Amino acid sequence: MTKTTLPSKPVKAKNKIHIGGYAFDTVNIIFLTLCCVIVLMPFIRVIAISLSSSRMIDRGAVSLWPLEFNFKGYEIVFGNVTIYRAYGWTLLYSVMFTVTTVSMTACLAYPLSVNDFILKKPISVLLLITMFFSGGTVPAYLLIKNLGLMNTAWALVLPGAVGAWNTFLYRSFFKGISHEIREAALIDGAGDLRILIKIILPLSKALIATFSLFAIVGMWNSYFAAMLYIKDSTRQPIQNILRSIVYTSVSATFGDAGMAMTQGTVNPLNVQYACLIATIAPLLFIYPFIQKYFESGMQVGAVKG
Amino acid sequence: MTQAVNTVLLGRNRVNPVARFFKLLWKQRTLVGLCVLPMALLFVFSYGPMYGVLIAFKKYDAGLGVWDSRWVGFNNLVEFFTNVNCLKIILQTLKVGIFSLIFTYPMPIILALSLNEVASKGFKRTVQSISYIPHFISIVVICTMLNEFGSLSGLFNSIRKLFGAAPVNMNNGTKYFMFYYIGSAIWQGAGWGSIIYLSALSNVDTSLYDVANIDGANRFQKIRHVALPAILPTTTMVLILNSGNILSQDYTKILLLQNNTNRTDLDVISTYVYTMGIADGRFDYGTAVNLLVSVVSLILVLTTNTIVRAIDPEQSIW
Amino acid sequence: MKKLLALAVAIILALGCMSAFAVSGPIEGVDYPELPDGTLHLTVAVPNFGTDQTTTKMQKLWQEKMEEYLGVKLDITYTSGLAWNDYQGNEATNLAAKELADVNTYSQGSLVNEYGAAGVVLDVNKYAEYMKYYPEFVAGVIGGQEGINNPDGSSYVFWDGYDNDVNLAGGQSFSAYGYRFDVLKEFDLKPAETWDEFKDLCATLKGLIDSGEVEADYVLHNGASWMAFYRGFVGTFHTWDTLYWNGEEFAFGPIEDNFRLMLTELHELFEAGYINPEYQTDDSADNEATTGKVLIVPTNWAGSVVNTWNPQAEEGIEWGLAYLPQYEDFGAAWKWGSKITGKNLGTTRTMGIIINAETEYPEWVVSMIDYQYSPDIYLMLNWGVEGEDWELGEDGMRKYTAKFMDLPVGERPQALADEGIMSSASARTGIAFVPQIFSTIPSYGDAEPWWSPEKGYYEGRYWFDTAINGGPDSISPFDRAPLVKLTDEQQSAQSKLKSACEKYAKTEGNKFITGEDGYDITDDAQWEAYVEGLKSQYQGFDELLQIINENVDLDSLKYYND
Repeated sequence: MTKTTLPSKPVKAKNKIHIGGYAFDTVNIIFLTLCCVIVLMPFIRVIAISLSSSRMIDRGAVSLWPLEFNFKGYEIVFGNVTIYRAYGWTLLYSVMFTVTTVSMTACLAYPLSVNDFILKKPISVLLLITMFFSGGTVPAYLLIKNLGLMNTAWALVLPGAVGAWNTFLYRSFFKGISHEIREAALIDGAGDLRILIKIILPLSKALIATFSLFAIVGMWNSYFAAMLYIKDSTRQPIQNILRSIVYTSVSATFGDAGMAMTQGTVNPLNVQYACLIATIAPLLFIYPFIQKYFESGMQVGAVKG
Repeated sequence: MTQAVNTVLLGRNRVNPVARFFKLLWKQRTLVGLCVLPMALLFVFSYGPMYGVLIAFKKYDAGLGVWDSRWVGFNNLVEFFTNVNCLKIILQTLKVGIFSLIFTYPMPIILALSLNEVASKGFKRTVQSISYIPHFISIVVICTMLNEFGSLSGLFNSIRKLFGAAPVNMNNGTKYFMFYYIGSAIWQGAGWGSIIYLSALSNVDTSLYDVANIDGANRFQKIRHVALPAILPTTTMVLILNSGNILSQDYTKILLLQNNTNRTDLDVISTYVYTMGIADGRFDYGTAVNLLVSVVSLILVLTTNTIVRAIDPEQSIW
Repeated sequence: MKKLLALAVAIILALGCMSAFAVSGPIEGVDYPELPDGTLHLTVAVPNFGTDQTTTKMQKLWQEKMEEYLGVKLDITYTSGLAWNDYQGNEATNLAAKELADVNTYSQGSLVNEYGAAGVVLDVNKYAEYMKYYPEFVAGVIGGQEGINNPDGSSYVFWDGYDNDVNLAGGQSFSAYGYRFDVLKEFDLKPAETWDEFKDLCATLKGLIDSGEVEADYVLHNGASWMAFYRGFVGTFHTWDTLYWNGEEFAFGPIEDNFRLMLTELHELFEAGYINPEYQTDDSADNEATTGKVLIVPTNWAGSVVNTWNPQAEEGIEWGLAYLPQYEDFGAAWKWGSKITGKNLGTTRTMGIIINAETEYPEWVVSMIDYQYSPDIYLMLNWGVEGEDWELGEDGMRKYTAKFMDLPVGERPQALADEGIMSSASARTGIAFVPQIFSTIPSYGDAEPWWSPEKGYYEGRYWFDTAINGGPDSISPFDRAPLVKLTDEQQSAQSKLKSACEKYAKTEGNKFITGEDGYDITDDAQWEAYVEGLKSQYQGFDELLQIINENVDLDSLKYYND
């Protein structure tokens, strides 16, 4: 490939000069666009179906555009007053979980990233074991009960706060931050605590943003723990409320008397897909605020360079 | 440098390794201190309930609880291995696990590298945002869509028609199961999985690109010599950890992809444990089989880690 | 001697104490412990069936009536409120962790026994003298009290009951074929009475589709992909899809010769191109019916016609029901799920109410649950308030008032549920489960199109008409099976055998129907290999079957007097 003197059109990137760019860029952009189309089509279908009439859905006529507009699914989901309270609780659980898990994991991962840390190996093994072995639901349940965490946010926040997988990934990331930084700082007389807070963490904005996103989304989508530990129905998070709406709209079979029935005239798919949108929408809304930090690492690099 | 420190220390403290240990521990007290709280959480919430695995070797009696239930040794495991379908289930598990790893592991990396090469920030952001969406769609919805797409009049058959192929009922039997299972995993997970690599790529020292430019490196060379090394620790880590998941599949997804035409052929260990251990309420039996899976998984991870260490000691977990 | 004296004194003292604190309660002749402030404080764990029943009108009436009967105040805290499926998912964990409310809705069948034996759940038989109404339901069960007792004489559940007050002897699933009445009427055809007629009808309809006179894709389709297609045909061929009582002994249906005969016939239908090739994988089978792409749906829930297909059908499409055809000289085809008249707890008991063994006043709690089995309570919760919710019709039968019946049929269930009336199924008032009463079943739905040889095309209701058209001989021996006395281990072995072998039969039987992968139902060697393969799914298949047959209590058949 030869150096192109023609400035490629998107020349915004200050630090990269695009060599042999056109062919590569074209193929690359076509590839990514294709990926987007493949990803988006089913999703658009979900939206289209959530807004279509029951009749059109049954016919299989809905493809990517809603036919015979119908908001019944959304009316059922958002007409349920408990949903707003559930949004609030979910937000609280998510924020608490994110703060706890990100801080705890960072505290643990930093020492592990130090090559001659004396407890590195035993701690790594202890972490690794938890990835594969667990005591099962009943002992976990008894633990939460005996600690008196039943019905509290802590029952959802604490058990998953320190995870092996995340710790190892944080550690890899910290390692990726130049080795010499710690050594240089140590020579300058800085302690490890200072290095972590003043140097490593500011350099890890991208990491923190990423894992905050993971944590928020993880808590947002979880229902199992709340199902077990949150007995108070007024504190249920959003997923559990949506599950009950979906279940009851689909159908229910009862007992030996064995009466099965489908409720009302609303198509279950309307409700199911409206619920899906109700879950995803807030996440898509917060996403851009977090994404901003994904590029922050690069700017730090530029300053350093 | 580290090596040098160690030799010095070793030389000085040859006499008493215990004293040397505590001396180092004291020296690294800040690092140790940082670990205390997270490790406490780990001990309470992960190790606290761990005694529950004991029921794998017991006949669980709810009234007596885990401690006082009767020991039965390896009876539960023997029952699993004497099950007539045992071999079939294990083979199916390995098949699904290995193919999943081979096909789903590289996709997020490719996507991340590809995104990293995009100059237009707007385009990059848009693609990124779009690629995460499937992650939020529940597995039930995805399986419903797959069933619809694979039917005789569905999307997949419309595509087949474009290429002149005769329509087939893809939901029938086992032929298209792997395509469904792995294809949907890529569709759902590639974008989300790429986040972690993109975040590693964002940390690349940009001066490296400048150097590469001066050297006249082309795009592929730059990917190979700048971008790839930057994400190597992360990719290795994910590979090591993923190798432990070969035996553990998503049972909800497999159960949802099963139907009356293939139910007996598509069982894997996780679906088996689910039906026997959870649906039928046999905690002891389910725990025993799960424990076996865990042990094998741990061995797999340790092996992969050893191989990685043999190639590049820097990249191994320990 | 001294010891004896001490004992006597102790007994007298104890009796004295008891009588000092004992009070009378709803059931005469037994003593109840005195409640501190005349109030019974309870926690009650109930799921949410779609409508929060705890705040409905009927729930308030339930409490008023209950307090009046017990003569004490009730202070109930309802916990849980989880969606029904989630609630069920939690039950095993709650039991294992001993985390029960005083009174709990329960749905896990025999799982409770080990926790009962372990002292977590109350043995209600120990408080039998505090019951009055529940025993009437127990008496309806085959074997009576013995029929519901565990081998050690205990019983930990107040089982869910029903009152078949209108003698519904019909069935609801796999008891009638769904036909496209509009097509049959247009071409002057009628549903099949015999298997040969059925095959002829399929051929005729196929001809009409091929010539373009009828716009459809296939003649036959399955009602839902999770149902084994052959489920709709086993009755005609006098066999069954699982372990069943065939009138003489317990046998496993899918390895019987009749089952093979049925598969042979179904394979013929498949080869002739009558059956939609996606019959076992199509998740949206209802849509094939509502859009008219198929003409006959033999395997179905009969309620689909009135509840789903016809209300949602496109213009001009009319679905109707006709009883199963008869095969040569086999006699009337068997229907599934025919209920016994009167009060009963059913044959497969999985749901009910359990009481925490540590509840403070089990005597009061038992009497409270027992009262739910009295018509005072269950008639009220099933029907609502007289005049307001229901009234007597000219035929002397109860009817829901215009408040509900003027609504479109699809909106009636929710309107009923909002009042807390149980027949809606999405609000289970009282403490679930209060017995259901069958007279409500046909009361708020519409009638559906039917056909019978005697009446031709007419309007009917599947609960009644599957009984009338099938005749008394159509009651499957399975629905009138004798009591089998098995130990807990044998019972769980039996359910293991059923689930493993049924699953095998579904997949393999299906391949025999389609003939894919070289499967050939006419090949004896293949059939034998299939039978062996099925038996191998449960080690000791033949032995267990023998044990079951040895423990059949034929005397218990006297409980069936219909």
